[in-house]
Amino acid sequence: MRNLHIYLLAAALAAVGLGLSAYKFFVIGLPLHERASVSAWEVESEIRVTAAGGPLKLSTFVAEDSREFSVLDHRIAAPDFGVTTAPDGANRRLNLTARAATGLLVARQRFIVHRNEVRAPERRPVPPFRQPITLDDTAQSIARSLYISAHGKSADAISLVTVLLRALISPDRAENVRYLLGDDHSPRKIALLAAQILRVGGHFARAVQGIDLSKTGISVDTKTWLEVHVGDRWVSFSIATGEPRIPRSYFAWWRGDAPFASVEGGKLTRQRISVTQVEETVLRHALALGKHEGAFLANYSLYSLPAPQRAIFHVIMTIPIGVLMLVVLRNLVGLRGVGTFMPVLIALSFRETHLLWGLVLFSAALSAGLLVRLYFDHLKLLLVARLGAIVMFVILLLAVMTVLSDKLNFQPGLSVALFPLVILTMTIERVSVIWDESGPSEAIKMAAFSLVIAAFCYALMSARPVQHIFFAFPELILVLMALTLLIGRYSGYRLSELFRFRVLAERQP
Amino acid sequence: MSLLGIARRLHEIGVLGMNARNGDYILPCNPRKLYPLVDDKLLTKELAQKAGLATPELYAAFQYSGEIPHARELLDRYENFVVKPANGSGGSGILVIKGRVGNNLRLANHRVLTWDDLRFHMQNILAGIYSLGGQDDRVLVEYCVEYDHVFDSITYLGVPDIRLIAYKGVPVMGMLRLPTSESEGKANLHQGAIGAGIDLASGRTLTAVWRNAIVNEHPDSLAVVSGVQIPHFERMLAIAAGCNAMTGLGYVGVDLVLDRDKGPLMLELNARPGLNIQIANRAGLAARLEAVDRADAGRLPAAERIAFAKEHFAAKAGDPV
Repeated sequence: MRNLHIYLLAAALAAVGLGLSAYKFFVIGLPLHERASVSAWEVESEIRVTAAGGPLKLSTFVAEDSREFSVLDHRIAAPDFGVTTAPDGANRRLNLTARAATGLLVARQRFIVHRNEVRAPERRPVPPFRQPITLDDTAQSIARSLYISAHGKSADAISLVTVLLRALISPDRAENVRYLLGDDHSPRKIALLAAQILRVGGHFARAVQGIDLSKTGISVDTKTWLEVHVGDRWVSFSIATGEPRIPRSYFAWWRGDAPFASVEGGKLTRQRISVTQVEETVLRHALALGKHEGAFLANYSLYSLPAPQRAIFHVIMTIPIGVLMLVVLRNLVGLRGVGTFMPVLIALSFRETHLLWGLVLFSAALSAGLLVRLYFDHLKLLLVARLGAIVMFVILLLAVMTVLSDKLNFQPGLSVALFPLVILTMTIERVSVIWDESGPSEAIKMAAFSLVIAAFCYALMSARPVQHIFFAFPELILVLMALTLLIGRYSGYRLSELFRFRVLAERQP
Repeated sequence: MSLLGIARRLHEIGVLGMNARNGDYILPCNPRKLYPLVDDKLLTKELAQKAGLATPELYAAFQYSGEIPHARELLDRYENFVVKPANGSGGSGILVIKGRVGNNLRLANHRVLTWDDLRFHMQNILAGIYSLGGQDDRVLVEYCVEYDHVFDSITYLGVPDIRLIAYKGVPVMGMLRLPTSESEGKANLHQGAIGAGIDLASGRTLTAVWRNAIVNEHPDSLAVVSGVQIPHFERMLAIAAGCNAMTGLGYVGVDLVLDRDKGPLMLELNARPGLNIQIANRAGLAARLEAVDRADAGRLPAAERIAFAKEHFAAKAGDPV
């Protein structure tokens, strides 16, 4: 019964651990390897303005997250300007101002765009609001007749927009369409006009301007399409086809008929948008997407910690794997070291001294400590006083070794922190107790075993993939716990016992 | 033989492994709170006296370092005595004093010890250097056992002792532990003593284990260790059979010595007895423990429990006796 209980508990722990990990891996897309990469786009806009000498106001738009894309690492480089942002309808305006600017001024905006694997909910569900109709009376009556005509030839809002757009883009346009468009047949003009006509008919409609991420280059064209509010959401319509869909690579930047940049008090000399494809780590990608996947991952994962704590947890989260290794070595293999989890702690202190130097340092300090302990034996000191004297000696020894290695430039990365010192002292104490109880050979054997086990633990715990896995998927520790519980009920032979009792197996009883 | 083959064979014979001992017998049978009863030899002694079991006479006990300076006044009247930490493990910290050399003490291994040395040793014991958890300890000074002459040729310097494992009141396996020069007169196997299995039915020794190998002679005297009849073995079985009820521990190692005048004396108990006894007996403990559980022999009265042990755990024919 007890075993069944353990099996069920272990299975439950493993299922929760693996389930959570699988969710994070498959749904959120947290990678198993921290260097796995995914495509993303680096977008840079550059606006050059020749200032007239007086106050200068430059206005452009900030790229924001959408349902399809996430914007990361947004940076604005405009050293000559005061920078403010302010919401403006469906957009966010970037206002750059200068009091008495002269000459050529440059404002740059740079960001990374990731595609959302799962469509994010609308980040700021802005209720549609009535936008002004800027057509004159004649144009408005033509627009109304175009609208009525399209309305008559369509079944619902979506097909209405498609019919209207087709009427606007068709090469053999009707006379009234040509009147409204004038000489400008660009998609931008058509989108703006379609929005106006739809507004006349009582719809919420707007032109959208953005870029096509699939067309990379140092100077890419902006794209324009149409958004119409249907039901409770905005539907995008392609100007080229009139269909209610746009290419997946279209990244919306700003909405409405405003140009990308407008200048007061100066002259816009150049505006340019560049798109390059970059390899972003899947990890950053997933974390960026995690912003939308619900608050859980973003707010309660280890990644949300400030950097110093994150660094500490990178280490702490690897302790369970070292502990499991000790449990395996102890209960399945039958190897014993000094103390229960001392080798894991020694391995942790190797992190600060590096493996080779750590082994040298540890062995040297341990041997010196034991020698001094042997000498103190003649002085007939009481236990605690003797241990205290040994600790003081070890501290002096570490100080000397550190100063020497520093003077000789022996190991630039050497850092003997407080932590290894405590571990070292504890180890010397344990080893000297074993020395007293079981003799020098046993003590040296145990110490050597401990160092070997610690070296293995260090190799395992300091491996970057291991650190990443347990940091990204801390719930895997539940799986380790399940394994530990199972080993805790393992009543078979240890590997060492097969050698120990081999004589019994060889003979017939 | 492959490792898997060895594992299968050991399982067939019923050899008990460390994990099974801890998980299947010690954890369920030995409640942790009873450990102090056996870890502290003073408590064990009191318990045994209450139960009417013979133990070596207690000469003195020291609890505070202020008492240590008076050690000579208290102990000088005894020619021979043994100094022990009450919470010692594995025979560490034990000094056996055998007579005097002038103003100094003579140890069983013929080394000379000053009274100062002895007092320092006792201070160390009080400071907890030999106790399991390093906590403060007590010093125990007791009668020095004069071992029976039957062991004269098969021991070296120290007192041989008899380890019996009792499970639910049934003695299941026994071993005679003989000090060697390597063990410096101590009867602990991991310090180099040899252990000879005992046929529970007759009380005669079987072949011995020395450092995980099977031997038939004492490594110092080369005398044959098997086939030695242990005197008063019946009384030893009775003592062992009573230790479970006395302590409440279901699985216990009972250490006895055989004094040439006082007969069997119970030295100490062990809640985590070692597994090498299986090599000494060339038999598996698990098989015997399961036999006790199958027959529910723990419920029988003491005499029948011993009879059960003698009937079921006798050395098999073909074993060298």
